[in-house]
Amino acid sequence: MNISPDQIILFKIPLILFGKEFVIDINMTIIGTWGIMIFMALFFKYLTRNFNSSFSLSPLQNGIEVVVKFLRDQIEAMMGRKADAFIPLIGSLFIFILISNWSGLLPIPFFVNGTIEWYLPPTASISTTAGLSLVVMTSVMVFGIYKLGFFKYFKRFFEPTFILLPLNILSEISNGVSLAIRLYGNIMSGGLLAGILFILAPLFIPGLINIYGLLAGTIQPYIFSVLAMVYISAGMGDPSESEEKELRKIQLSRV
Amino acid sequence: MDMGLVWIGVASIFGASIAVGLGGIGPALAEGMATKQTLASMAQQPDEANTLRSTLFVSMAMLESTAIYALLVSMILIFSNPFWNYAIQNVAK
Repeated sequence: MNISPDQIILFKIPLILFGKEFVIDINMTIIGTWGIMIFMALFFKYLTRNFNSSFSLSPLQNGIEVVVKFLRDQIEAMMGRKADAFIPLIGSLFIFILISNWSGLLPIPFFVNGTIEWYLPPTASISTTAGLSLVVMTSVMVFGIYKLGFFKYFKRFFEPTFILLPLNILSEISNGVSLAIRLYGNIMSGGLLAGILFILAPLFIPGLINIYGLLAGTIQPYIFSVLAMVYISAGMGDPSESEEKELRKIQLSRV
Repeated sequence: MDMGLVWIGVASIFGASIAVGLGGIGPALAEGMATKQTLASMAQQPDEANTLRSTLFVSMAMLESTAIYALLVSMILIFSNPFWNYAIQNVAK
């Protein structure tokens, strides 16, 4: 039984670089991640091909606008700032993790050396989730430095006294680690539980567990993006009065 | 069979069970408390139900991650135990 999609190596690419030979293993995580990324890019490009800003909207555009408005409202409620700067990052994270979790239910066979390997979602591998959490932690720093300036941002680590510097750094690292392990553990344990119950009771029970996995796979991207928002918002300090006023003006103008 | 290998196996399985068992108690109690408090607040202030629900989901996930860490440790002990692999290599020599 394969626990992680990292262990399923689909094919190898031999490479000669600087006179040395390397072999790159292409495993299911890489294939899954790139597949979902290409699918997302093409699918949403195709969906948004003839959007307009007139008053008569197509049902499709209305549907997409509902999703985007949901994301905007969540970001504004959670961060207390204008959503424009954050919606590309948070929205892509949310939709990528959601599609990835749900794609775990698709029965896609891969033929490797004469044996069949079944598709596993890329979020069931710790490499993917660690990459995503690295993106979040880097953007915490980037947004914080962009907003506060270099010195003011790093001054935060010396508060309340400089003795707490190691603890502050440790808490920043453990934020990232827990973000990665939470997503990985939830998705991986769902798949593993279904696999073990498939050995015990093959007919009916694994389906129920997969339905539970679908629920967890819906909640986890929400939690991941909410925590990303909380970390980014905490890294940027409190929103200033002018920002709050502007946000309130925008929210009032929408009603 | 080498007795050392047997004891490593026994200790791994025992440790994995203890990790999941004890690691499940704390989050279960905490999630129960959080749900109880949220339900009480929802009954008191039904207008705030949406905010309470979303906050509950997030805190649930954060509480649950403690149990997931315990699960992860036990899975490492069962499926990729470093001491077990080391002992197997030594036996093979």
